Amino acid sequence: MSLFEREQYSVECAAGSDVAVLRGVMRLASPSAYDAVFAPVRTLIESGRASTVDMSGVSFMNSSGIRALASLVLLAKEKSTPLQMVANDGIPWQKKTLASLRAISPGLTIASR
Amino acid sequence: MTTPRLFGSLPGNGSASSHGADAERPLSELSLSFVPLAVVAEWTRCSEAADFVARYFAHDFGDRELAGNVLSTVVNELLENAVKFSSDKTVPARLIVREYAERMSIVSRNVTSPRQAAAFGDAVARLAHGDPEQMFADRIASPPETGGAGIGLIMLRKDYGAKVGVRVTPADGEGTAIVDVEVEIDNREVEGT
Repeated sequence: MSLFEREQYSVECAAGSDVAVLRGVMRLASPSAYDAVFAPVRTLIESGRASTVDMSGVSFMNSSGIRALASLVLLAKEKSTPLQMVANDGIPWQKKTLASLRAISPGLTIASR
Repeated sequence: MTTPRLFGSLPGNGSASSHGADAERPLSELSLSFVPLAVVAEWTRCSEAADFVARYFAHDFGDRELAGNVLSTVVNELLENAVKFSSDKTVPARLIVREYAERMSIVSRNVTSPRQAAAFGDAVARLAHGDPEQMFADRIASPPETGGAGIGLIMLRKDYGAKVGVRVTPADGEGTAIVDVEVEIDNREVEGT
């Protein structure tokens, strides 16, 4: 594998699907840099359908990303969209961050993988 | 002579330049010097540098994967902070990481404006005494670029029990300040125990 071949991140949310899958290393430069990346997730949540964000494959997310993620959680709360996040308990930031996000939005459900 | 101002929960001996002769000798140490502008030009350099530093030290922990993940997270936040808060991005910033028997010390150094340095120091002082969960919630609810201590430092305190301290040293005649941010984490937090 080339030294520069490693995929940084991906966000998959097929049209009509209620599940968004995030993967990789998410360390963009600012919260606003996540706007375009998280746009499909935002659209999903704004639809009002019960939504799932699977982040179990995200090994790292910087604080800008967590802030952007929190804005999605707050959006779901505002829109009364049922939101579930799928986490990997073996990845330290996920376990700790999601607990804090649930404190902000008690309606958030968290599933472990 | 300029007098440094100290903020936060550390005794204030955190410095990117040296540690006192009577201080505990580190088991391991690594330092980097980098030009913030180069990181702005290619932001993945932050992550790559953080991963390198994390792997370097993770060898000393039982669960290297876990320790590496925690260390990379912490180092990346400090690197990002140093780049973002550098007022002159052509002036090299520094990172120095020291491993002790029971703790890791990570120090970043960058130059910034005296005003921003003071605001940052005040915010770190509040962080030392506030409820990090509440501060996290408040920060999430505030506009993204509010200034002061970023959500990254709040999270390091909240999630890893980090002690955070800041030393602000005026740079005479230049209208700038040198900011050393020191984050100290218990090795048990690094190992997830």
